[in-house]
Amino acid sequence: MSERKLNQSPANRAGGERERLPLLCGADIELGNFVLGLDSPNGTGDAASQRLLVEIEGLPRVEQLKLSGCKCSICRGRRSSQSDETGEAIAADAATGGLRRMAGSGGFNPQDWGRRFLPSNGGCAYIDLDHLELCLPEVLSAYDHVACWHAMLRIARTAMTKANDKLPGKRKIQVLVNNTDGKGNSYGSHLDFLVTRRTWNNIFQRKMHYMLYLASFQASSIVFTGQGKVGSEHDAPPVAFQISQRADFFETLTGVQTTHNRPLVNSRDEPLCGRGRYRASDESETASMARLHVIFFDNTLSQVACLLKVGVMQIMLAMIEAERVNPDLILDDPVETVVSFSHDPTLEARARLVSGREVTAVELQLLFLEEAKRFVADGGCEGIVPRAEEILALWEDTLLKLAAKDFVALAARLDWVLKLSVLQQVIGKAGLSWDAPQVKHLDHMYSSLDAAEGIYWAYERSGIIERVITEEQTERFTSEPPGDTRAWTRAMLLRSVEPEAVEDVNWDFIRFKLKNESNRSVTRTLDLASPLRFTRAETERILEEAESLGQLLDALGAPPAEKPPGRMQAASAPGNGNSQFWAALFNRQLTAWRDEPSLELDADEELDEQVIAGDEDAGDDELIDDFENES
Amino acid sequence: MRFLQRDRDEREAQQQPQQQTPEAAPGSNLNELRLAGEEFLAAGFDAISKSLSGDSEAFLASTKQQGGQ
Repeated sequence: MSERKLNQSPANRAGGERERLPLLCGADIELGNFVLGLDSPNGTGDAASQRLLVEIEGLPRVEQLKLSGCKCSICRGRRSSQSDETGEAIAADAATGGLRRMAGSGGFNPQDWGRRFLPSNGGCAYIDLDHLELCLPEVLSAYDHVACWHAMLRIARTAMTKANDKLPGKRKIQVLVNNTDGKGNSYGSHLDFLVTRRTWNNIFQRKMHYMLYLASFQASSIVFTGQGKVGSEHDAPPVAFQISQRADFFETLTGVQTTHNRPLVNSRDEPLCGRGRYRASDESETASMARLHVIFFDNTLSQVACLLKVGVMQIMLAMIEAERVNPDLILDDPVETVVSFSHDPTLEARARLVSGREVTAVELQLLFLEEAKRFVADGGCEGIVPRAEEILALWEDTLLKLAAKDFVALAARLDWVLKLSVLQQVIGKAGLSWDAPQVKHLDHMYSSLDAAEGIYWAYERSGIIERVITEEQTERFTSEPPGDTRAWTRAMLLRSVEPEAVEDVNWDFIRFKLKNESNRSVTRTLDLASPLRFTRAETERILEEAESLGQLLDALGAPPAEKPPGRMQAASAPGNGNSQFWAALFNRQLTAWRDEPSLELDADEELDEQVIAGDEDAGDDELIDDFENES
Repeated sequence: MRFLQRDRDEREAQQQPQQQTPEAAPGSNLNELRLAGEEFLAAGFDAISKSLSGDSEAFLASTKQQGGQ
């Protein structure tokens, strides 16, 4: 059992001796990406995201290898996007639907393609649908989250520059750090928090008012976590400007889904702690760990907004873990309320609590703040939330400024206020209306990743933006991992070995290929199940002293050499259950393409017919059964 | 840029937004917000003017994404 599992810190005492865990945080964040100057009915997200991803260095280099020999039109299309660029290639990708066509063939996971982990900082990148998705390395501190987030944006910006350098003529890939294309399509900015299994069960299975408490907190938190957006979408009532990018897209209170009927509180149970899915019978070291997958928030750029989004959420979750939940703060209808709060940037909108009291978003946040202040004063965040007092103070100051409608000061802290200030000035000076295309254009360009074009970056350079991290902290995470989580060992191992030696990587394991004493190829898997272990303090000396990969794996506790895994053996390795399943499906499809020439299709029509006829799913049920049995 | 060539009087005469924005908020510090907005415009001048001088309709036609999480 982990030493930290039964941490007897003051936080535990405040929580009544219940199990507590540090509120470790990760993030998986989709970006808006498209090719400017190229018209396609399906958009150009596929073409853009592929070109961005291949410019990000990471391991394993599986996809390129697997695709290298296949002659089908799909793989040729994929390879063309990874090689020299021509306008025709981009147009062809866009016209054929690129990744989505591949997804339709049944051979790929459209929501997890090309995942590669970064030796630089331990995070990863991949393509989700047609978005480049950035996953931040695990951190303990909300301040480190802010630095890692901005560092990952720099890595993505470098990729964008390299990709654009290869594009011909007037083509240009544009990357937006927002959550909606303005045409009714939303993409996520997800946060992930380590919580105890007990807390996860309380929220979703035992104490529904905990979920409502969390939903009520989130719905009102948009006053400091919103990026701001011009107009409304998804059949929401018309509005000139609203606080949140995502509010229009939430339709239900809870659920596992993320791409439709989006819930305020997502119930995906995927711990990424050495198990694909939670099992009550699990007696492993990490059995008490769960991951809360939070899909609610907007992408933010302002440092204070980023810090409060994560830091205050950590404090709230610490309170829920300690079962310090005040049901008087629960909204009667959080789903409806998030829209009404978002659609009112005057901050006057009121919503009814279950108690019957009516409050504004800021008033409700002030009530949460009072609860949190008492909790922190009792030591409830000690050892659980780094720098909780500072976060609390900044939260309070921001809420008081919101209550006073001190938008001048808040523009330096909150994205939606800065964006609104700029847009109001432009509208006034240029005589534009809120529904003018120039205004929506500026709305998007606020979050452009391009340092010269992105409006946010101009304000950051000007010194107007209030900082909570230094330039050095951000820059460090472009090339160094956080030292206090397993991200450190992951990154150091990936940079310590030849790329060819890395057969597979996921958040909670790395599988290596190496030679045994008889010079035969074997594999060895290092289990990184606990995100709180394998820190720099734990493994730096081991990495320094090991003289070979084998010796290093011995010292880190990896089991002895395994046989090279077959397809289904690979799928049953520790790690992400979804990715294992899709890897197995991918392998099966590749085998089908290789063994059955009739499936090596060139004509789009032939493939379309197959998809329509449902042939793409042939054998999937059997595969799912195999997978369930083996894992 | 056109929006920077207009003086304050002209700006104040411009049509006000029809839908709810912070101007409508009773007690909001509108004048301060406007003055601060002047500074913000100056700080973001290059980026803002680049967007406004582009083809906004063509830009918006390009942004379409295929859903997402």
